[in-house]
Amino acid sequence: MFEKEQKEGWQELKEIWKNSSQTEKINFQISGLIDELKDWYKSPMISQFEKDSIKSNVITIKASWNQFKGKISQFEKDSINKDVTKITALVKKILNLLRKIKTNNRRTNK
Amino acid sequence: MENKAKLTFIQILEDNKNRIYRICRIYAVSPLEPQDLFQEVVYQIWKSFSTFKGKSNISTWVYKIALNVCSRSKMKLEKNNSKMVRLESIQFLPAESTQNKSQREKYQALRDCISSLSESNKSIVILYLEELSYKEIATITGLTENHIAVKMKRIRKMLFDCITHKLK
Repeated sequence: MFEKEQKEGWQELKEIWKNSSQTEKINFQISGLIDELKDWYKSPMISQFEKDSIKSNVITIKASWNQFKGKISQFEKDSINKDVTKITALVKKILNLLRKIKTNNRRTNK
Repeated sequence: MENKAKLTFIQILEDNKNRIYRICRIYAVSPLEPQDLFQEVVYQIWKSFSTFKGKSNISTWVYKIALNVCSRSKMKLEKNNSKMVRLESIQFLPAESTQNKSQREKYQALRDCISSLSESNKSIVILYLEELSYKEIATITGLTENHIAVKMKRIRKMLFDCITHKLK
């Protein structure tokens, strides 16, 4: 008796389960799906808004670059080079300092 | 992807979309929606489509992917902690359900009770509800048919007790 009840109960559950996907109708737009999947593959977490925003920034940067292209003086180039060298040296110093601290910590732990 | 392959891929999605969605509804935990999981499964099917050798049945292959993606979703969510972007090419339109109030309550109880099971038991009972044979469940889960039979006996009792308790 109990087994029969269980069997019927499971049959009902199976039907409820089968119908559970009926709450939504799923449609695929065949033409765009593959392209969208390819894009999504690159970064599933970036929204269209962000993509558009990045695109517009790139356009602005390109336009600005065209304005300045060829108009940068040697003085400006040298100045940027000096800044880059200074920044690189500073980063190296910080990294060395961190390495030293790490080594000291290891020695004290031993 | 060639046109023929494209059509096969779309056909696979059309044939299996309801199965996939049923599984996604079980695994979706806020803020992840079943729709997020669904498109992740679609993406994984697309990604592994070229490597599908046809050694197993297509629906067996789809179930395997859906269960893998869905069971990993929690981990992925914890890692990324952000919402996924929805694909515009997959539309979810609300449909009128044929389920009455009592059936909806039973589904809710069933869903909650399945969610409380261990990952392995969850997969087994989902495949059982999908009316797959023990042999097919064994192929997907990597367990033996005997093991599935033993496990199902226990799961059936656990689920029945859980649902009865919830519907009291």
